[in-house]
Amino acid sequence: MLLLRLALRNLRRNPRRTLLTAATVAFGLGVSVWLEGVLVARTRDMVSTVTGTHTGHVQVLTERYATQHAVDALLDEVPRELLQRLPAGSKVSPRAVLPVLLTHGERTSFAQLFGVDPAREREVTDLAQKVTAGSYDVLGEAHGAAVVLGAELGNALGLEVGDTVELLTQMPGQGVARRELTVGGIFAVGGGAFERSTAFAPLTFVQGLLPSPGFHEIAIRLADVRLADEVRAELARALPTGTVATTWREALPELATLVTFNDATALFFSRLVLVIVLFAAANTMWMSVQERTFEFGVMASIGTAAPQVVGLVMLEALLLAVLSAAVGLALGALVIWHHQRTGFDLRPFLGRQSNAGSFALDLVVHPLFSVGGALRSTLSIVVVVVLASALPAAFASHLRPVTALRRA
Amino acid sequence: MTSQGATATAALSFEAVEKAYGGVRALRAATFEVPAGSMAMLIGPSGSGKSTLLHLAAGLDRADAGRVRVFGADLATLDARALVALRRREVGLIFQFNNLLPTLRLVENVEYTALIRGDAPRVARARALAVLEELNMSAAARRFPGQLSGGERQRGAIARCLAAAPRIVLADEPSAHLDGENAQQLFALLGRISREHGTTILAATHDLRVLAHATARFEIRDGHVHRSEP
Repeated sequence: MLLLRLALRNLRRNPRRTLLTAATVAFGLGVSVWLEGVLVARTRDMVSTVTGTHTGHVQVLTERYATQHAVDALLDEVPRELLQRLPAGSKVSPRAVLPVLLTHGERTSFAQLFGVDPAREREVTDLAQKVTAGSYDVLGEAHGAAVVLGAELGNALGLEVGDTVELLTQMPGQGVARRELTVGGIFAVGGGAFERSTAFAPLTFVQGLLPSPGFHEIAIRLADVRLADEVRAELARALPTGTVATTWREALPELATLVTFNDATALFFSRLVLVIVLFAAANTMWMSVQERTFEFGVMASIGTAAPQVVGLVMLEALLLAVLSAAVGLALGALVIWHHQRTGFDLRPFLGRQSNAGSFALDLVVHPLFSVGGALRSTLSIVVVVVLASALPAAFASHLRPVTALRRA
Repeated sequence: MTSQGATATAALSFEAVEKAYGGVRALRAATFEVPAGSMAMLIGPSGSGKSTLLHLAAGLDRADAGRVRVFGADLATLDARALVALRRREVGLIFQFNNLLPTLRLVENVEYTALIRGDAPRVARARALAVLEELNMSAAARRFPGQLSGGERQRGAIARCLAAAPRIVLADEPSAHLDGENAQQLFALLGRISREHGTTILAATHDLRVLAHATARFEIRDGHVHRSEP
């Protein structure tokens, strides 16, 4: 206890310097915790936007479709092994996909037409909630040849709900197929290539255009996106030859790159903060030790052993670190709590629009307080401050008493 | 423990000790013995080598040549750990000023010595309070060194020494910053401790007014030490 009191009072000897260092540590940790909260939330938003709108977390498809996008590379049915191996709470939606040309009057656009079963698709993606005009339910088989279009695609073609659009497509070795579809719904996801070039039709309608009924891909939504890699590995062992499983990372490599960039940014800034804190703490501890050279001489002369001197200096650093880290943690949590309620607007920094691959992203982030991340940052900063005191502590403990006493 | 050349009753003995700093010879073949239980004074002008001699006696520095023995133990044969143990249990040190750690209260300063000696916290606190009581310093126990007068600080330093119950106290100009009355009181206190506890005292001073308290006197001049009659 006496050592603790001594260490605490030594920190109070130069309150201005201690406060400045503590403020640096606290501010650094606060920023670190907040920044991680923002970036984690941004990553979460990007991934959930993209997987929730379209890809799901895992996809199962034929190897040929995965590599060549050949329209006749079909799965005949949902593989039995797939349903057996998926974790509880997983949902699947088989899809057929065709590149098509859509024509309305004088206007023409290329699009990807997805044939879906709306009841199953609702369990995998949130697209039904993005329908701004008409209804998603028109994709039910009872409604016949209906289509739900992206808002930008609809605008490009001058289409509104109730209009008719002509579809042209061609299978390998077959003639051109021509169909008419009624616009039953318009969806909007904030813009982006997905909204400009995607349409949905009933699964049976799209299958009717294929050489044989089947699916191009099976989108899977897991209870937790973090299971994606594990599930993919499990499926890779179980699926029949010629059938592969991919995660959203492989389906949307540009998004995976963005996520990696986000993670790297968080890592870079947290390391940068640690380096700044290291220098600030080292400077403070050096000055503190240098000012007390005579005192260390006195301590040595009355029998204080070198490890006890090291212990005292490092205890001072530990107290400084823990006290200021507590303030920093509280500061970071407070700002995150504030931004969770109000949102942190990235538009002044990133402009009006930001895309994750083909998808527009919300630029108002509601940061997440990650307990694990905050504890990691706190622990790192405490360790760094204590390490910063190691050299000054070693210096103090190796002072020759007689040399130290001459510095009176 | 007593080796050849040192008498059985010597608390401290120097035998042909040499010490130089940067070409300046602070001690030249210094040879003398301080009898156990004596109140010895080392007199000499400033820069004559008094502090050097005390530092060697406390094991804070090593002699270039010759032997320094504390109660028969040759300090040259002790490693760093043994020297720390020596300073914890055998030797007490008092400096001219800044003896006490400024961030500890007086009682905590005294307690600190007992703690690092290995006493349990409760025992160390009780011992510190007892020593302060013995030196009539209980009223100042909770004050910080900065709140004490010069005389109180030096008596506090003595209290800290006594908490470790050393067999020899080495005092380096302990009255240098005290007025005449405080200096007399300080040396009277050291004399009393020597008599009552049997503690050997070796105090370096150039203050001739306090010599009456000495039972043994040594004079240091140009690095040579001579015994002079009290």
